[in-house]
Amino acid sequence: MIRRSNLALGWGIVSTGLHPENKIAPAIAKAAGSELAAVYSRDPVRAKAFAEKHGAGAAYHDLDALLSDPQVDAVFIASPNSLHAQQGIQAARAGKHVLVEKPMTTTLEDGVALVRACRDQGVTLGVGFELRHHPGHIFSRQQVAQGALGSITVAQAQWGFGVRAQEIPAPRTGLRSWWMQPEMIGGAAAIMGTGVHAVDLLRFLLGREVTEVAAITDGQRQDQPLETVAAVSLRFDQGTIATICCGRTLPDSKNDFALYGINGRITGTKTLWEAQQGRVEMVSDAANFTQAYSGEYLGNFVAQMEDFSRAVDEDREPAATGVDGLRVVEITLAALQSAREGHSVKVKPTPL
Amino acid sequence: MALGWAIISAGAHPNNNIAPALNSVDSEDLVAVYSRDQGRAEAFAEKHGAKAAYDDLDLLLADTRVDAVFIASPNSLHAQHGLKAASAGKHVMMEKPMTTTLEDAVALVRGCRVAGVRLGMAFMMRHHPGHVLASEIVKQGTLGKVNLAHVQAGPGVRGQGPPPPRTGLQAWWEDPVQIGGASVMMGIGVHLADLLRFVLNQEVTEVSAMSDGQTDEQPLEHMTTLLLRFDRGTIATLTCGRMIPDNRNDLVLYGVDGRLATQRTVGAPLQGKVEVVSEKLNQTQVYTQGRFGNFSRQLVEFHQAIEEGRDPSASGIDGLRVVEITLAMIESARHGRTVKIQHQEV
Repeated sequence: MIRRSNLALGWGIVSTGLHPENKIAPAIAKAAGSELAAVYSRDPVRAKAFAEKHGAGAAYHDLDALLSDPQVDAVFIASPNSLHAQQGIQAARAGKHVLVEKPMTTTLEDGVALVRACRDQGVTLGVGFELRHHPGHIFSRQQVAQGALGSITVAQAQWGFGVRAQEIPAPRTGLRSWWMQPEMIGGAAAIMGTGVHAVDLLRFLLGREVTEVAAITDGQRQDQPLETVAAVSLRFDQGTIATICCGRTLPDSKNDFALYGINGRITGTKTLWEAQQGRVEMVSDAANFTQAYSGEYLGNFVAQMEDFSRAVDEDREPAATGVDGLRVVEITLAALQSAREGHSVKVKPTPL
Repeated sequence: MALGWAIISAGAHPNNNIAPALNSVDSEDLVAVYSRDQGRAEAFAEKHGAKAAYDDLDLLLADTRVDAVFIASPNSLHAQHGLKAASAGKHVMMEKPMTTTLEDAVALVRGCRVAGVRLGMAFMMRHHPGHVLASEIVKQGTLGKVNLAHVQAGPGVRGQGPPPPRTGLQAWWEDPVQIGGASVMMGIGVHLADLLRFVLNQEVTEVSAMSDGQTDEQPLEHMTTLLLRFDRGTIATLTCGRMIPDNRNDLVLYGVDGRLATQRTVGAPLQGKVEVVSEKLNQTQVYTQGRFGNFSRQLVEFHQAIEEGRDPSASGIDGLRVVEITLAMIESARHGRTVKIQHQEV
């Protein structure tokens, strides 16, 4: 599928929530080769207000109408998690490229259906794993790929947040109340919110796939279906044993990652966050290196939008593909099963 | 009066750590040493200034100058050596792991209780002042409810893959029965499990372990990660391995009111840094190795416990709880199950 012309990629944003409001629309405005063509909300008033604020060409409260708009080349889907698949498939069938917010889908069937639909329609599918665009993460991945650390024995990543003195996170209400509904969010809260980012980041840094998952959480029970803190063990092919942690009651979380190889280590501090921030340090025989990052709030998101529009132009996969999204869905579902049933779960790539 | 100590086994740990630590403080007196080889016992006694060297454990235990024994024999012998010492009326400080089976652990705790001697565990990391500080800060509620904790330690040599097998007198480390069915978990992991119990002041209720061993092809692991649930809700990760040359050897506690993070404190030497970031308290403390290392502190504290007629900081019950966690780790890693811990009554 080609785009309208060699003009900028025209984006339609599906949903006018906080993420599009604070990050995606402003990132499209800054990104080279992108423009905001249209926005969809089921509420016409919200759609219109968002379009006015962010300078979108059109506002829709009917998704089919947005998908018929020839100014729209690609959609960014930021609706509630359980709607991602059907809206993504609808967009693909209308010939639009699809960049879907994480988690890609809430079920394996949905994940497979979305990847297949985009493939069949010849549109590009990407997932909003913006941490792949942090330069410290890109550097670390390159070092690992070049073997600078030797084989990696242990890896860790953590993304948590919270408010000091708040033992129980304030319930999300109003338009955000879907975060409290297990079916809409996908059976997990902290894991869906930030844990999936940590999982994908380790896949990205290690360049390997997860084969086994075990999890302990404070949720995934009848009396508390959604967790606020989770710890997940991951076994990667070729042997790395990793943990990821996430939580909504961790106000002083270091939001760090660590890669321990037999020839050295790379650690990041505060790099797992919205802004392109933090510090990455490498200690090894080959090189010793420390780099701090500026804290540009939109940096990762701008890079994500630019990478996606280039991927469409160049007819290549974006940094985080639909298959990456599907792998993380597989891992997430395995983690939830492990937490519920009390055993580790082997992960196999789903045939496509 | 100084406490008269005997060391059971003349291996690397007594040679490098325990005998020098005893000799570094006036209150402790190294009286005797036991090795099944009289030549090794005598060489050790001469080097460290012990008054007597024995190759017969009964003779050592009959030596009236010996008040307490430090047992550093192969893991699977701990229980029988400890019970023998207790029957002879000697206080027992036991190297970790306390025992390799639950039955042995219960028998040892009961044996020492019946004999009226103190049983202490050589969890020297409890005696690092930074860890004592962490324990106090958690008890005082400075961090609020601790929701997540991490601890990690273990050595490695750059450029070296799986560590070479231990040979000669250390070959028992490679025998699953003598070491107790786990390698790095027995060597290091037990310290980390106890350290989390100590600083959190909670007991473990569930263990989920992943390792590169505990299989028929590789019974003993080089690397393992444990997820732990504690009884007042803290979730923790514990990572140890022998292929982590650039390990940070750190402990991190995330509370709802702040965080405590250490660097390089988790290990044998008394060193590293502790940083507290919270509403009520913000401080950084740096530790440099003093005359009283973790080992000296541990031995002196055990002596004080005997004099005061109380349990030492790390008691036989602590040893037993860590045996429970270790056995759960082995079962979990082997069978892929999250194992619930039923605390053994003694």
